[in-house]
Amino acid sequence: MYSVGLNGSLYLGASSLDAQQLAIQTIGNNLSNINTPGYARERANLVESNVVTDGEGAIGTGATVSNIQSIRSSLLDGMVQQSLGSQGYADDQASLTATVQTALGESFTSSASSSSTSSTTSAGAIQTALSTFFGALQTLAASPSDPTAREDVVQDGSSLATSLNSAYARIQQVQSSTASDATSITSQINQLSQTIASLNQQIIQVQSASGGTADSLVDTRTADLDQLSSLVNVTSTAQSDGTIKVALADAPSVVLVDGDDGGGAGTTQSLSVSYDPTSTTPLTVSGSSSGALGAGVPSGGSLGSHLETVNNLIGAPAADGGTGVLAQLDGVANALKSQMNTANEAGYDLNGNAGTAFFTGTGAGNLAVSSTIASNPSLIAAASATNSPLDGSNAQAMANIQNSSTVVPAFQNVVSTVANAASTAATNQTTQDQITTQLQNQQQSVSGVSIDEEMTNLISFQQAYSASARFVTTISSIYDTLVNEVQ
Amino acid sequence: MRVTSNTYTNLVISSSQTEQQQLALLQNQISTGNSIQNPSDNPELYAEAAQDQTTLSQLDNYTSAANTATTLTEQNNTAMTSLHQIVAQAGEYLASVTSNMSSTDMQNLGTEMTDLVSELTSIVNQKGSDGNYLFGGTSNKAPINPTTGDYNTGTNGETTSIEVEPGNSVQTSIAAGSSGPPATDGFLYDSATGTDVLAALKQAASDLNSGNATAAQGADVTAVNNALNLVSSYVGSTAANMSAVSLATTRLSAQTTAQSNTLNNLVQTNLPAASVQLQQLESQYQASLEAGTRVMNLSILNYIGNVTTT
Repeated sequence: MYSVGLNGSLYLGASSLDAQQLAIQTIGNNLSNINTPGYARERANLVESNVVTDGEGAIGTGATVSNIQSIRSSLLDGMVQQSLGSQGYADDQASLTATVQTALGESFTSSASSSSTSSTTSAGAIQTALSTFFGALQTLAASPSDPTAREDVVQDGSSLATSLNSAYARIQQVQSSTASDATSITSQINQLSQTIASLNQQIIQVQSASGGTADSLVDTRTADLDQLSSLVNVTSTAQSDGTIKVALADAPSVVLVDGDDGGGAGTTQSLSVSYDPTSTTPLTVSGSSSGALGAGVPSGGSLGSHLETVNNLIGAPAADGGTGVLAQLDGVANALKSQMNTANEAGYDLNGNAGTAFFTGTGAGNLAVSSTIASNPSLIAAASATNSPLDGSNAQAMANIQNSSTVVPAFQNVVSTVANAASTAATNQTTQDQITTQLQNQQQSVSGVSIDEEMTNLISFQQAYSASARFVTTISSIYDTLVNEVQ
Repeated sequence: MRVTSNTYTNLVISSSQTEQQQLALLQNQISTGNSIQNPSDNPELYAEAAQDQTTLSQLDNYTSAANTATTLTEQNNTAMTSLHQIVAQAGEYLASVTSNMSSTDMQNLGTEMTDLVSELTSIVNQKGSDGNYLFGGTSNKAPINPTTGDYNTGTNGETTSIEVEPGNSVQTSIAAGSSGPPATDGFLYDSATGTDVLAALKQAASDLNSGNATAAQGADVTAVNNALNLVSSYVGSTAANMSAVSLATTRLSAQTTAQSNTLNNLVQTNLPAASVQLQQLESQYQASLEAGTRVMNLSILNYIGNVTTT
């Protein structure tokens, strides 16, 4: 007949104490990391110790912790990572398009009307300047020989040109700042790639040394990967050695992290951006060995949003082949200049001479009233016939340019383009927010720490620990009794 | 679904963010009076409102032009009415001539008639506030030499007009005209009938001064009657121009009011509705915060303070 004996019982109690203590420590660790980004709750998996068999049957020898398991779902982790990429894009798009809209300077304001108790509504600077300018031309048409009316046309024309110049410069500044920000983002991407590579290396070392898993390092790597995903859309592939390989989703050949290499080391590539405001594609991203990536690559994350804003929404000036807001503003300015100049050249000024160009410049950035006319408003060709100072019919023809589809409606189209982009971006941000929140909640439902759950488990393990301790005390007492009887 | 402690925190943060955004938007709408500030708030509404704004600006511009046209057409009509009175007065002087009128009386009438010519010259050569001759035609020439009372041969017979509504121009200046050369038609001269207002009055004054009762009772009366007919037609046409501008101004005013109301209805905040919505949101926000606080405070920790072990 086999018996575990009193020593065996003492060992059983001690191993139980160890197991409960480890479980309690795991609970403590969970509670400590309840707010740590990327942390996945851990669970001490208790198993029954080896069973001893004697003639009367099997008898247990206590409990041990088989492993500390990190509870996470790779499916949800991947979905959250992808969602964060879209979230980064949506957040930046909402912010950047709103900034472009602000730079354009078109918003509604209300003011009390002087003629009644009601209020009047006015549009933004350029739209108001356009209306004021054409209004001045119409006033000139009614009073063509009035020097004040002529001076007003020059002043209002200059104000309109200045409004366009200012909006153009502000949008160019937004483009330049966005491009500069993109440089900062690529630096962060390269830094995070190096960090993830370093974590890969540490994970290999821990796993080879202990033979187990390096859960805390994996948690940190997951948090870093989430951060990287919000900056640029990437794909990560788990490797058999516990490391992950990270590449651009739009350009799989551009590998950012491979094992313990990252940020340009080994076969990996670092990213950089180049900005040329006169190029058709002003902002391009390059890999350190691949060179310039295609237009619109990468398409996701903050970097993707910056590319979209700089290259497509704002774009290059019309003279450089752009089609974005800058080019559209150039189109409005050039249409205004062309039609005004044609009309003024078709008429006759106050001195009976044929008119000359009213506006100068090559686009919205440098549109200006001709210095000749600005210094001598009598040169505005208000009359349709020579030596007809009281004839304002040509000024009326210039005022009617307001109805041209390529001037006021074209400018309103520019505002609508930006408005739709900003509105869509805001809607996408809200939608993406909800998607990300739901996915993160699902991720939390698997990996998150619940205080109630942990405290309940704590009580359970605490009581088990107390009971095991009492068991050891009891065996010890039996031992003492036995020893004393022998004496 | 398993619920964790951070689920509550995230939920409270998320819902309070959403509610605060709605509150901020509403507060902004109420404080500015505009339901949209930025075009992106409602791109379709903005596009519509921007179009309305442009139309409103055009109406304002036409209203301004119509106001100028009103001033000019009133000046024209006032001048033509005065001119009509002068020519009518000349006709009355001629009608008072009798065959046995003394030469002194005839000369007195001649002096009166000469004064009428001076008045006519003064009216025809009056200048506007900008210093331009009102009736010189588009080239701004003086229609009558102010000193001699003779025609300026360079007088321009063309007239000017102002567009007071889209596609609706009203004549705002009339030319005096002259017998030339070159002859130009106007309210002083009509080539079709050969009527010459100034010449008729000057001839009448001359005949009266020389005591030529036959001419004064015959040819001069006919000439002055023809002059009166010519001036009367201009009184009518300038009154018609004045009326056309007045009608246009009335239409512009109605359109401006309607367009302004349309724009305001589109863009401006419905304050009563916004205030009610603000109250609802406030209540919702308070309830959300209270519920969040209660749930977040609820924990097993509150019940296990004195765990005892046996």
